[in-house]
Amino acid sequence: MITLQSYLTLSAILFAIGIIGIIINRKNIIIILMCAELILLAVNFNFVAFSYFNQDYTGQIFVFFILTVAAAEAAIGLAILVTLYRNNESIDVQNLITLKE
Amino acid sequence: MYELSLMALLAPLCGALLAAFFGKSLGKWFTNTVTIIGILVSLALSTLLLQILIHDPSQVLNQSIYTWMTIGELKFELGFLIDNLTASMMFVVSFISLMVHIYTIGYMKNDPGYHRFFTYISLFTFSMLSLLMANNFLQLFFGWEAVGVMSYLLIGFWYTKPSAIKANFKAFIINRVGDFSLLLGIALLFVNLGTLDYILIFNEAETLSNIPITNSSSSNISTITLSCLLLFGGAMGKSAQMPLHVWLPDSMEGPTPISALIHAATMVTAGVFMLARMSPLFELSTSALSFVLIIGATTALFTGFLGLVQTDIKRVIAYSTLSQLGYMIVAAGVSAYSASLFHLMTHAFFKALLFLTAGSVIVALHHQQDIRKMGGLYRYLPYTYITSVIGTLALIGFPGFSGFFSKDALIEAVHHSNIIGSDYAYIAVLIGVFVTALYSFRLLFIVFHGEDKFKGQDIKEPSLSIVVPLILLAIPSVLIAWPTIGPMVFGDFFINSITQPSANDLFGFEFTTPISFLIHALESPVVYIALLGFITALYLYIIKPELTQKISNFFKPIHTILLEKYYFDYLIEQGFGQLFKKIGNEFWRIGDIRIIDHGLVNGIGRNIQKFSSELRKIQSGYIYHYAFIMILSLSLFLGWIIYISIEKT
Amino acid sequence: MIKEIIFYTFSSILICGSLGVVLFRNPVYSAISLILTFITSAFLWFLLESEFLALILILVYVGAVMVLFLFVIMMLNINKQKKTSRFNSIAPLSLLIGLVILLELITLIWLQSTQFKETEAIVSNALSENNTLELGKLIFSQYLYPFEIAGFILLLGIIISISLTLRTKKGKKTQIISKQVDIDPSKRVQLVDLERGKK
Repeated sequence: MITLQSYLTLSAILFAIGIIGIIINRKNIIIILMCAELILLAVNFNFVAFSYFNQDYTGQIFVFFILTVAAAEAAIGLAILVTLYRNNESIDVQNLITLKE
Repeated sequence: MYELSLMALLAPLCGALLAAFFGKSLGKWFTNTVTIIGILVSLALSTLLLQILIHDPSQVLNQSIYTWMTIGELKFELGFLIDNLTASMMFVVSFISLMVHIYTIGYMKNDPGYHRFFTYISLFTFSMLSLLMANNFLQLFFGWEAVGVMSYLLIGFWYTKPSAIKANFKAFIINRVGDFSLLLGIALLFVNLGTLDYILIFNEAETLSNIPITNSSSSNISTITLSCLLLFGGAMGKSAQMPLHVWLPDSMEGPTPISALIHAATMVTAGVFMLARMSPLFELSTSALSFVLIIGATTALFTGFLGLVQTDIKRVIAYSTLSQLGYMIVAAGVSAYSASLFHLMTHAFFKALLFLTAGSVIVALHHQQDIRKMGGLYRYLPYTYITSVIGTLALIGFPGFSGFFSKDALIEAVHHSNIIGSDYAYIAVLIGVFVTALYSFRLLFIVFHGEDKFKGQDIKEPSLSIVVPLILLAIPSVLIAWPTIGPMVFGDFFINSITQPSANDLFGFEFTTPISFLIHALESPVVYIALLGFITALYLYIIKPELTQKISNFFKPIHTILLEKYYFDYLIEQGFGQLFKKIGNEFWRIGDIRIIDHGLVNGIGRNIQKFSSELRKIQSGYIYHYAFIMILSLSLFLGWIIYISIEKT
Repeated sequence: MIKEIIFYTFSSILICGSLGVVLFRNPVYSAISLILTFITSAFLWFLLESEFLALILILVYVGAVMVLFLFVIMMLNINKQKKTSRFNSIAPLSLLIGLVILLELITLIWLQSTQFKETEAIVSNALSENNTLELGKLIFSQYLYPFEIAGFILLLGIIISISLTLRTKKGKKTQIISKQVDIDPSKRVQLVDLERGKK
């Protein structure tokens, strides 16, 4: 019996994995962006599940917009990444330390 | 009455202030004149007050002149209580002060601190008068402290001498110990009776004898006994009773005029005055009286012994003062307050005289104070010699002189008393008479008789301003007892001021005339013991002077103990002094440096720095650290939401 | 019955894919795991009767965004990470916190579970046949304004990306259109009156 809770649990798991991925990442910044996509996907899951179980299309419309914004954001994030690479010649996470003090 | 007493109090103060501010610029004659006029005014007015009171005893003045502050229902005021006791003490104090002022003109002639000295002694007179005229404990305490301060300033008058500084600190601190006890006594009375006024306290004092100090069953001390003991503690400090006597000999570091004024006649007698004034309280507690008696007798005897081995001329007289103070306290202890006051008065005269003669000798010998270097001076200083003989005879109680009457009345009262310790006191005062005669004549013989060490040197009598007070003081030393013993000791003179048993109970003797008292006194052993002392002194110091060396060698350990003043000084300096210094040091090291400086003041800065440097690590610059913190707060927020939803269900 | 099988299969693939995003060392592998995640989530959305969104997910996300990601990965020439320094110092703690968050979320879900309707019977009748039609009806009537704004956001995305990454070659001559349009014809052409034969 698939209930709403199962879908919500699934989206929670995705969300947690995305969050952990942002923090424990030591490789490069692209992974961070990908984990952000994962988080957004988890939220979309939530909306769609609620929309199905509440018989309301509002959830799906909202997913529509989230999708749009997420795409734009991914594009811009990658553009920033490219600029960063041009300046630093690497996209190691450890090099992003210029915020210190 | 009121204006007279106010003027009598303030005249010396004005003299002192004028001398202080204008003395240096206007010269010595200005200082002399203005302070002496101040004291003269005070003396004249005291005499006037005395006369008024003698003629009309109802004129006793008990009035408050100024309310210092009120806290709730408590009033702290300054006031006057002028009765026979106060008026007679005022007379004595201002007379001796006048003599000392005149004496100082000659004695301190070449001293650079001339104006300062006059200021100080006039201020001292003012303080002493305010103590005497007080009608409540607050003013008493003010006067008490003020005379202590003036004594400090005057002992350390030559402040460049380290021994003088040590002495004045010692005097002040030991006085302080006594003052602490006094303050506790006053506080105890105040707490229980709610007022500081004498008359109110005396009226209510009866109730205190039934109140025990604590509720425990073990202690049986009533409040009145404890407060009397504490008040006497103050007297012990001020009047130099054992064990707080150690400051008086060292106070001889000050110039001789102040030794005469303060440490013979006036300040040290403040304690005795206070005992007499507080007689209504002391009469309620025989245990306190016994304590007073024993302390007084011990002081009288043992300090007398110390006077036998001293080599400084002023110190011999200082120990004599200590011994006589012991006598006065003994008299108070057997409830013979009038005899105590009488002895106070006569002692003031002859002891001041003795000190001033010693000062005259010192000045004549160009500030030489060691008696081993003196001898055969009677040829060179006749006036000094004669007055000094008169003073000595008065001191030992030669029949007819004032000291005789006062001492005899005193010893008579001790003999007749029955309280605990009176037997010990009687024996002590009798031996004390012997010792007094011995050291007084020892001093006289060594200084003025014996081989002439000054042949060919130019020693002459000092100036007139020094000699005249000697003569003026010698006269009362002889004569004052004759008219005053009747009313003062045996009569009604102090009846309104002091509470004491009737003369018959005290002395066992019906007094008619001074002559009859003299004849009666010749029946008691006192005179003969004094005579014995004279003969011994004559033998040891005139006839066979070598004997003294043999005796001191024979009794070497005792001699050492006496020279070391019973190791009191040693105990105080090494024992207490080092102990408190160590404690102070520890407090400084731990309390001041570690806790306050290092811990609090620097500690605040240090801790802030530490905390902020720890806090700085959060801003590491790594993004994942920041992300982590965000997630942490997210988890906390979620926890909170869970908590709320649990509460809702 | 079938629903359960499909759900559990695809959700396990989904979770594996997302773990792969985080744990692979090669960034290309991570990108491909993410693509797998998206596709399986699209399948799951099919289960939830939102076909339009599922297909849009595949078209837009996988087809455009992930391809962009792969372009950038290839362009930046990111190397495979070395073996040793894989996780940073804060890993255990963050794993813990992540687990805590997961547990909290699950707790919240099950706490509120009394408010959820559980029946499946209601569900199957309500939504209409044509998901796209219904969505379209709502977008172009009720949610028109947000729709336009979303389009605008996309435009912004384009402009920002181009302006951030555009590099002009030096020495290349291009036309500056604004200056060209701006000129005043009277300044460019001058009528000079020349007489014949004169210089």
